Amino acid sequence: MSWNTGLAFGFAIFMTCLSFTLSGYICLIFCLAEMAGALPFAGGSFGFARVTLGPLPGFLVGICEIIQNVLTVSSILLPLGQSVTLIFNSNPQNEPIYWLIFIVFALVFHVTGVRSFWRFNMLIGSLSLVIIALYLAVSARYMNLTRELRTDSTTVACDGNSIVCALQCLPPVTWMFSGIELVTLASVYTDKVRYTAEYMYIPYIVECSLIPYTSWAEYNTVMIPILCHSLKQ
Amino acid sequence: MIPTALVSCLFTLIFSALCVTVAGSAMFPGSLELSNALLPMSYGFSKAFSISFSASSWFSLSPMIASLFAFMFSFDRQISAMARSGLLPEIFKLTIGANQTHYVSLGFGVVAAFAALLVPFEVQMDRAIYVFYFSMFGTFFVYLSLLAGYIVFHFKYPTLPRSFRSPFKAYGALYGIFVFVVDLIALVGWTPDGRVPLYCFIVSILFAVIYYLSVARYHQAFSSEEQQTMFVAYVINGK
Repeated sequence: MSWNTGLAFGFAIFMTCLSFTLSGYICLIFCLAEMAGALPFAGGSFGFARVTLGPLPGFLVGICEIIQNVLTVSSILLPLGQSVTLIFNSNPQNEPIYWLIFIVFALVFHVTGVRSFWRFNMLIGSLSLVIIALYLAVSARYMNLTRELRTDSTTVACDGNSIVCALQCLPPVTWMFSGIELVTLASVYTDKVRYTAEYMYIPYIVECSLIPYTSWAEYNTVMIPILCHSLKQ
Repeated sequence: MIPTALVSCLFTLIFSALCVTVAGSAMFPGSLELSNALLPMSYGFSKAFSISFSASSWFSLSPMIASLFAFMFSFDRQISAMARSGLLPEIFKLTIGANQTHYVSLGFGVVAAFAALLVPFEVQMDRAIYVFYFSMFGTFFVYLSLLAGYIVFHFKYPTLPRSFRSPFKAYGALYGIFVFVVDLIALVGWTPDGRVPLYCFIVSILFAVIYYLSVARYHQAFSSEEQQTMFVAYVINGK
């Protein structure tokens, strides 16, 4: 499952759902930003819930976040394995082996040290930024919104019932933004001078803001404003 | 920096989401075909560089790897932070080497992620959709709790120093709750295959509650970082 599955319900419905979900995320992120500014805590959301709602809700929020993150790793490994199968035209039964290779690769950087981990993240984040910019640049001359959306309007999904279509479209659209709240986990790093922001904090911010687009190579330009901001500090 | 980062992330995400959605949908083969694509950007790269679809798939690997790194980092931090607060077994806060890698929490998360994939892979690949929906229930639970928490925070700690204030105040949180409740209802009521993950999620929450009441609440404490950053809030809370 990826966010783009929502496009099956039609471009107009997708954009309506996107606007609706976005408005919710804007409220959520503003609220979270205020709490993170007052209570910077490395544990992220569970710390906020523990302080505001009490110990049990805090514990449950922590458990749910762990579930969310662990299963998102699963959701990333799945298209990663499928992509390797596609690139090398190999047997899909080998995909668990590819998952294992990617996991071990990531573990090596987690274990070998903070600096190498964040340097690698900076590198791969920058590379992805270039890719998304390149995508927008090269695809511009092939765009024809009027022609493509004319065929789109003939969709017969949900028996033509727009409300049902919109309701079915909402979960994949939400997936587009899921994970942005994880930025708060980087709270403690902002105070550690010895690991400068360019090594640890910035790549993490970049990645968290890009997480939703695991299958679209969608990387944001967030790196630039954050970098500028951190250099001013 | 965190509030600035969050808000910057949000707005750049909005900008890029709109750009890429419109760009992808406005190109051949159109949005309907795009909805089935494993790697939607491959169409654009394939056409622009006159390369095969499989060759253009290389462009999508790096962000997926980057996301993998970020989420592994996230669950590692969360599991170890909860262990330091006494909410999870102490074994999860064990570290190894000069870099103090939380090898147990990392290992646990990796094994769980792998197991969650292997089961649907062995049974039937399409069932992997359950993993996605299960994750979504967790996501909505977190969002709704955070928004409810903000309302409490707004009224209970109005004098606590903060570097950023939400322009929407408690009304924004209420609206956010409305949006995510609608999303949750859509997931439960109108999404095919949404029920089984819901039951699994409810059972998981029940197990978590039982664990908390029988074990965690007797061991919970405030870790040193919590004492450092949340002391003021706890003091106000205690009044």
